[in-house]
Amino acid sequence: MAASSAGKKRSIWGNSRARREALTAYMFLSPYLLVTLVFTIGVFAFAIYISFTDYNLFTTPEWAGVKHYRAVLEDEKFHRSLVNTLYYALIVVTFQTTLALLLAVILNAPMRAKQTFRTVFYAPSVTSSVVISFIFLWLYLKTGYINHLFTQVWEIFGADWQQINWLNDPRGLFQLILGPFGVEIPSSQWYFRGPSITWMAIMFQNIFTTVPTFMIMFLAALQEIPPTLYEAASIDGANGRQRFFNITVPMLRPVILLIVVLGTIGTWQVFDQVKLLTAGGPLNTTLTPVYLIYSEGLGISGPPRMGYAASRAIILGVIIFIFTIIQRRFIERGTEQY
Amino acid sequence: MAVSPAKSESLPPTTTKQGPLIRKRIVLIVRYLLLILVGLAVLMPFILAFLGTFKTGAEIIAFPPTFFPEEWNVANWPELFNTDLGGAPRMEGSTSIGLIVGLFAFYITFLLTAMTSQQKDQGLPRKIGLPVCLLLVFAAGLGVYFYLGYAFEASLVLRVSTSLAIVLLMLIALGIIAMSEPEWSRVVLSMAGSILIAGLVTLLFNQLAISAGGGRFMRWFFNTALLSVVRAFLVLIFSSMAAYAFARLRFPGRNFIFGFMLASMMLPGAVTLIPSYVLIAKLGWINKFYSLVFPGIVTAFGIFLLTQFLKAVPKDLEEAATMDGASYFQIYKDVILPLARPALLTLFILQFQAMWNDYLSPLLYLNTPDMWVLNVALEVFKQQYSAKMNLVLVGAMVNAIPVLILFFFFSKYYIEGVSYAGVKG
Repeated sequence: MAASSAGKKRSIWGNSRARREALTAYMFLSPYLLVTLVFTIGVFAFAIYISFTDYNLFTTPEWAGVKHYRAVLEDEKFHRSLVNTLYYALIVVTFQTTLALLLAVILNAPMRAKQTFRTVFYAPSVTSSVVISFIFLWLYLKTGYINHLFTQVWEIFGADWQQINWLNDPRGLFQLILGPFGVEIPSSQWYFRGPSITWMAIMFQNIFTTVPTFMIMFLAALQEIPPTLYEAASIDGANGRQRFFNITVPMLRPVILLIVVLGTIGTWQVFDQVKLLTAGGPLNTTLTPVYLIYSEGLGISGPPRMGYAASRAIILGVIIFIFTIIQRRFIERGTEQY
Repeated sequence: MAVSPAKSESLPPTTTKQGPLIRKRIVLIVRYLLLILVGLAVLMPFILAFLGTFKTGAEIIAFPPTFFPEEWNVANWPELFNTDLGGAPRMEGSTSIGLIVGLFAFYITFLLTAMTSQQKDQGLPRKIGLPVCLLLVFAAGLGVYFYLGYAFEASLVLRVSTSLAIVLLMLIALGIIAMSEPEWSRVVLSMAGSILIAGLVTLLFNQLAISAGGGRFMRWFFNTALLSVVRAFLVLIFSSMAAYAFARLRFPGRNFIFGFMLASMMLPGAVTLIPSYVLIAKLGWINKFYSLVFPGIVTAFGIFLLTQFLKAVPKDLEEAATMDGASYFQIYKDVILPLARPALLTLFILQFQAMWNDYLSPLLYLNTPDMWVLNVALEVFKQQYSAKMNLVLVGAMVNAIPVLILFFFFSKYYIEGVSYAGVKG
């Protein structure tokens, strides 16, 4: 195309170059705008609308007001799912962030075969949750490798390991700890029983698969820390632990925040493992909000209750939002001290 | 920061030259031992599962479990490909495979042909350009509409929604060229050529999809691979377009839209799960691949990654190209895309993996056995073959191996992508 004159040429869209540039930009953006308008904004608005109606996909939505929201207080299933997920988010986020940070610091030292280790550690993260879940389903069998491992270890200490049915055991953590002391927690106070064995088994699986991703993020951030900081600290006689807590951790604050926030958003929406391994059981101890939304909204058991599901989804969104805000405040306030 | 491979090579000196040498050696050995242990622990489930695929159905659930199979049952693997879950394969949904691939072919040929000629004063006169182009697009849309009706007796909503989606995407392509390219002739020619090629590819692929018989597992594998590849390519095209606009062009509302995009990345998917399902159902896209392809045609993460990458790239080349009178589209195609190649490869791999591993959306939208992807099929497979854990493990391995191979070949790009998200986020 010819060219030097192109700028001066009168275009049918107006003669101003800036206007043309803007129009071009909107053209380039239009697929994104289109998709967002329909599948993000539109759908989000629709979610809010549905949550105020009774709707089952086949009839027209019937206005129900705040009925679904008012029912939240008596909705024990939903309470259970929230409490379960709260345990889940606290435990998984804590462990995955700490472990990922530790691994990253170990890997960050100058050493051979670093790339190989990094590749190997990351491998579990690339496979799908279905694959991982089925492998763990098999490992967790009563006759599986996990029980086998415990048997072997217990044998060393001369004890007998009671084989556990990992994916079907509703006994809670606090229940197990307090049991030997003769404290019984009645089933009406299920929230004091703590995460069930099954739920902790799923937590372990989740930590196993998410640590590598976050480790990679930490590694990248570690390499952004200027080496001069460490050199200066060494000259001042700081030891390894001091360097870690006074340089590494403060410098990593933004990444720690990101990883905690991403982890929180991810764990509050846990679904795949629950659907694949337990379907919310045993005794609702692995029920999660997203599984509840899925099964109630699409009518997996009974008629679809889309208004109910949408209202629970919005409450879940608000909870996640509040958590991320709190974390942001908490971790960013820490930054100001330095 | 640019996504540069060299970055990861540099080693920050976390250890110093102080302290006795022997102590450092011991620390190093402990470090290696620890890493090897962690590495083994991390890979162990996969190793066990892989060995498990060769065991018999009885051996795999026996206690105490064995490490190596007593007898290597290699026949487990082919057995998987011969199982199907009953019912004759139907051709339902094949049409969406064909059309999605056709759309993909359209974009590729269009991008390749739109700007090949550099001479002026050739081809059709400028005036007839716009109407002819519009006519072509609407003709293609009508073609899709009638094709869906005659060949598959699709419902009215499905026909309208699908042809509308395809027409809109073609109009966007047209608009981009028109905005930045004063000469219409080449646009018309490339448009016509692309539509022709896309149409042929659609028909061809449809026939292939219909005639592909045999065990269902092959079909699931094919579905997964096709969806992953096509969607990843479409994400590359549309995300790079948006990233070019954000990184290089000035327009009102740029910061607002970019900020909105960043905020939308934080919106939990669970909130829109139910209404998305309703929307897809109303469009008639249940059991069609459109349900997975169209909403995911462009991703906020992809735009963000590419925008940040482009912002770090010097503008010299583009300025030279502008001096030579290149249009915006030419700059996008001949300067931006080649420059962004490493970031594009990273994005492609991450997107491919995301689609391959997605479970919730295919579970919601694809219900008939012929449309399933591996993840959904495996779950049903597990329910029906719960007594044959060895076959379930073979299925899991078949599902895992393609991504694992991709990962071991391109691990550098995976890791760049993930670390990039961390450092920049």
